[in-house]
Amino acid sequence: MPSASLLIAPGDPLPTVELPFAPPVITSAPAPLRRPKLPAVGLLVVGALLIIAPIVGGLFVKTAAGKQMVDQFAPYMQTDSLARDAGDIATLRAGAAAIDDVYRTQGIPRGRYPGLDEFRAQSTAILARASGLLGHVRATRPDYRRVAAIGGFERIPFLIVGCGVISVYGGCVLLAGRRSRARPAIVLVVLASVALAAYPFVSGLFGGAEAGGRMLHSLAPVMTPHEVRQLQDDFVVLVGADGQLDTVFRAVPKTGSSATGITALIDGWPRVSSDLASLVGVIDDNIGNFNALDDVDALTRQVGLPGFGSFPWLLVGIGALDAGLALAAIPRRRKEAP
Amino acid sequence: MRINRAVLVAVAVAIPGLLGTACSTTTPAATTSAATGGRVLIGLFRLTPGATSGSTLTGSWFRMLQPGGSATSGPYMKNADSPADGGLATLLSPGSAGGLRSGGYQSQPTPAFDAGGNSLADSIMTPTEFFGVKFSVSSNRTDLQTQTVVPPPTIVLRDGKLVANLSSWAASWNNQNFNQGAPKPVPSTQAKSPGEAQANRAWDWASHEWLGAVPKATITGAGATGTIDLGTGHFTLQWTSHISGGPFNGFTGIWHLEGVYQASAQAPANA
Repeated sequence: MPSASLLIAPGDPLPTVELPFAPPVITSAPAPLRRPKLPAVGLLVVGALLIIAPIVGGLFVKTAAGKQMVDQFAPYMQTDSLARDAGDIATLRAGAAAIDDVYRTQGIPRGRYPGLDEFRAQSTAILARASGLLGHVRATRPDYRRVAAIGGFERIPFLIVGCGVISVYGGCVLLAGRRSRARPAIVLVVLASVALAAYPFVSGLFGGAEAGGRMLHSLAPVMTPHEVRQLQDDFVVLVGADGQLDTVFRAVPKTGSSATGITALIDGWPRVSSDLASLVGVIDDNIGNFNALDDVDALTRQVGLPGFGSFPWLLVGIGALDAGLALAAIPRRRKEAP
Repeated sequence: MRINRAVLVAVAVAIPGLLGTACSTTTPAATTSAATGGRVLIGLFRLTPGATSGSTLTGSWFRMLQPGGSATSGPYMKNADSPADGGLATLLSPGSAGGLRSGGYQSQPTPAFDAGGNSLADSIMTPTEFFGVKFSVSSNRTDLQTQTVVPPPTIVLRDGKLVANLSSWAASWNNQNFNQGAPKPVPSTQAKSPGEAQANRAWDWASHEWLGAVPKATITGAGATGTIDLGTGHFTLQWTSHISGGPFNGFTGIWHLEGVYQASAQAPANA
């Protein structure tokens, strides 16, 4: 209930109320935004490196070469193809044994069939080389499949350079652009950096790169001009032997398993020679590609990393660094003095 | 592949003549090429089948030189299926078209091989046994091995001699294709980044249109050479062609065509 002294009759003037003095409220002016220069300069530098390094290092060509090699080897890494190759070697081995047998049983002197003489002299080495080649290819298959499963391998340089371009843009905006553009630029840089860092996780690059290192190591003895030349020499010997088997040697009596082995070699020769020629061809055509891929391995070693397997970590590291610099470059207000 | 700049320049200077002749495929049988000063011979170069007379080869034939060998002394690959020169040469027989047509392609058929790897290209020559499998030749707009676009066979009579651009000449054997032309196509099979081919084409077009740049050479090296008797039409053409890439990288084909030239009113439709 109100007190009687505060009751005002209708028509009475309002009483004066004495309020205590209150000092004016003073709000402090907002602290100026600070643009951290060092992270922005870091973004510029990292961005420039991300643009320049892949171009100067030839990463575009090297990854494309790697992709081409993986694609061209695909038919030779199939189970049925490897089985065919093994069958070809078995045909050659059985043929060589059969020829030896006929020579022995028929007492054929050396010099009558020079092509077959040469084959007999070299067949052990030729078959060992062919088996070795097939062994290398077969041993490489699991790693090859993991490499082949890497998604967008040949686009890695575009991702790196793209991240670099965005970083340079972000650095420029943060250093000299309008204040209102700073945050969108940072968001853009962080997104690009996250994409770069995330790529190895989503593309299978982690497992694929390690497998790629092993694949390079496994194929290194095969992917050389010397190896190709040796296989060509073997091919010349095989051609000479088959030519004589299919012509002048037909008149020589053969029985039993010898006849079977030689007939199988003559009949199988088109397939054997086609398979061998194809494999030698793909090896020869990809020596340059192999070397280019090997260069990527060397590239990581040049920057002090252990090789191809560390390539994904390199991307993750670069992405994390770039994102960190972008976040550190967010303009912030100066702290007020206490 | 790295190509000597001097060679490229020389080719760039020399090729327009032959290319220019290739552009005149709808002209009469023998036209004068302003670029070469020679007469472009358009028609059928009917092949005379290869034969041996003692150790002498006549007609059309082929040898395959092993790496590091000499074109004149070998060592050559020995084709046990050939009776010529102890198998060191393989004799050629004319195909369904009778031989080589200039001014148009005689392309590889589809399929190119049967189940045994034997070549089915039978227009220029009859497929012939080579190491137990039949080989043959064709001429293709896009070379089968190098994937480079090349002009059709172009043969020019200049100063009484034949000069030919046979860069589209390709041999096929056992599911393999080898360019065996002269001059040689510059390979287009090197690895390319995504978009690189399109970017190159755009750049080539722009640099040609606006900077007046000379188009990149698509062929390199010397062409085939030969002779012709204008009275009888008897001709010879010979060339060597180094195989670059593939299973026979480093080997060299030695070709000798011989026969009778029959002029046509116009260039043949491409087969």
